[in-house]
Amino acid sequence: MKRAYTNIPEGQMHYRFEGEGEPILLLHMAVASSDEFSRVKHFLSPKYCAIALDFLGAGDSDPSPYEYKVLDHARTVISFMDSLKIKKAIIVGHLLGGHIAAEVAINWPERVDRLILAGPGSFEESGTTNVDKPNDFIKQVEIKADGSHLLEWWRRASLLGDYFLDILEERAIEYVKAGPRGEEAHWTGTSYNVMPRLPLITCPTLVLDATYYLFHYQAKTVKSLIPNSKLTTIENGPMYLDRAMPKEFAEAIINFLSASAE
Amino acid sequence: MKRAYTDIPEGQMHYRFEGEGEPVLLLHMAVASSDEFTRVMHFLSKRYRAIALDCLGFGDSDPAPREYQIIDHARTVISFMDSLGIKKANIVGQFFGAEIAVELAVNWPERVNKLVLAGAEFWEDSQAVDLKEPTNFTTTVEIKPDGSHLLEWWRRACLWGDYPLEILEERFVEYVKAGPRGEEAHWAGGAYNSKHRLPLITRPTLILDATGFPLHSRSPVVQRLIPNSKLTSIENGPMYCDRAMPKEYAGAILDFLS
Repeated sequence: MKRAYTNIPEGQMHYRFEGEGEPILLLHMAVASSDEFSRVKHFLSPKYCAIALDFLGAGDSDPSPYEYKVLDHARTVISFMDSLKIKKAIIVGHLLGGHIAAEVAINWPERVDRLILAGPGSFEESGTTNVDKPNDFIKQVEIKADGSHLLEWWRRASLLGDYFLDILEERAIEYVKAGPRGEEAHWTGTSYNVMPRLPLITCPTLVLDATYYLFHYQAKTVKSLIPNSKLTTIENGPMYLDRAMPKEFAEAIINFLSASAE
Repeated sequence: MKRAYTDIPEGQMHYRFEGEGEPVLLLHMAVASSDEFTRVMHFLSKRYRAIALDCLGFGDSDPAPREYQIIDHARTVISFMDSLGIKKANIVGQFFGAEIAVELAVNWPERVNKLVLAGAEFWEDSQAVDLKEPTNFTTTVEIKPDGSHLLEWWRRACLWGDYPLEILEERFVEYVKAGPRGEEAHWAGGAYNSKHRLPLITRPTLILDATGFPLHSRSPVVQRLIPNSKLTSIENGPMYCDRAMPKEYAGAILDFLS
């Protein structure tokens, strides 16, 4: 795996890439980074050119010039593809990344070959109560002289399941890198409703679900709203599915891509 | 300022760059990164091509394949210069970076134009007592399930004076990025003694001192050991002088280079 930067109008975008062949572009969840796909890429790269970017304001990309919405991030994905001269790609989006991927597919259908939405769903539905204290992980964290903000970031990194320490540390680093503006990503996610947008997706789409995703209970509804779609559910898959079960995550993608190949 | 990666035999090295002209290569202190020079580069870039790299294991560079000593890091700087096609550069090193810079100038004098050593003081046995609890910032920090390692990194970031919160957060990010292996940089520095290496430097050298550097009082000794050298002290300059007083720091470098 290699890391690199490319220039878009807003500044520099950082990305990780591995393998050769048809490009698969991987879009990360809120307050995360391209790092979340490092294990998954290892399984995709024998057959594909796997590319994971950091959204503006996340990981090692430049900050966004103002609070970006889902559509703004989707536009930066197109700028990113332009800068790397990628005409068309398979796009995989995880949680917030899935919403951004959906907007890329709806607004620039000619740039998207096939779409994989992992864990899509909407806070607008009645399911908000599924999360313990939902507002408790999206409030702004200010930097404090006693370092207490670090424990708050660590708490948020540890909030969504039991993971190995190396995964928690990776998540904590993502919180630290995103800094006090990091939660803008969650605000972007909660102010967006993917449901009415789903019927506008025209390319073949896989809804990649896991039994412990926040929006697991919405997966069938999501699938029914996307015209040309399939649903795969990974049993016992946690929120950080790509990090904790990278082989299963990658295999679901590869199986879908081989089955939907012309 | 832009960021980029380049390939050396051990993997990818990350660097920041700004400006055009004669290259000035900046080498960071222990458990830090190229980020420490971001403000300084802003001043240098008006006249020079300022380039700051992350040593292997720090910032966004790949980890070192094993525990690297000062000479190993110096070799990676040569690999870095090769990869960017830089034949010769002015080299600025801060603390740990200064030790690497000394070895560059001693072993590869043909690659070094002028040398700036910030905090190049060496340790005498009797000097160790100059620091409060000197062993207390170089032990390995293991990652703990309760996140307490983050507070220990924060404590270490805050150990060297009063700085605005943004500087402390930058230092902390550097600790986090370096991770549990980060202290290898302090160990490499501790295992190295520049005393017998300084007289071997042949390049024109500036000893860039600040009155708040831990071994400030030793800087005239360092200066006397280097044949063709000058000494400049920044009044009230703290340990993180490049971050806290970038204009003065860059000014001293620019005066010396011209």
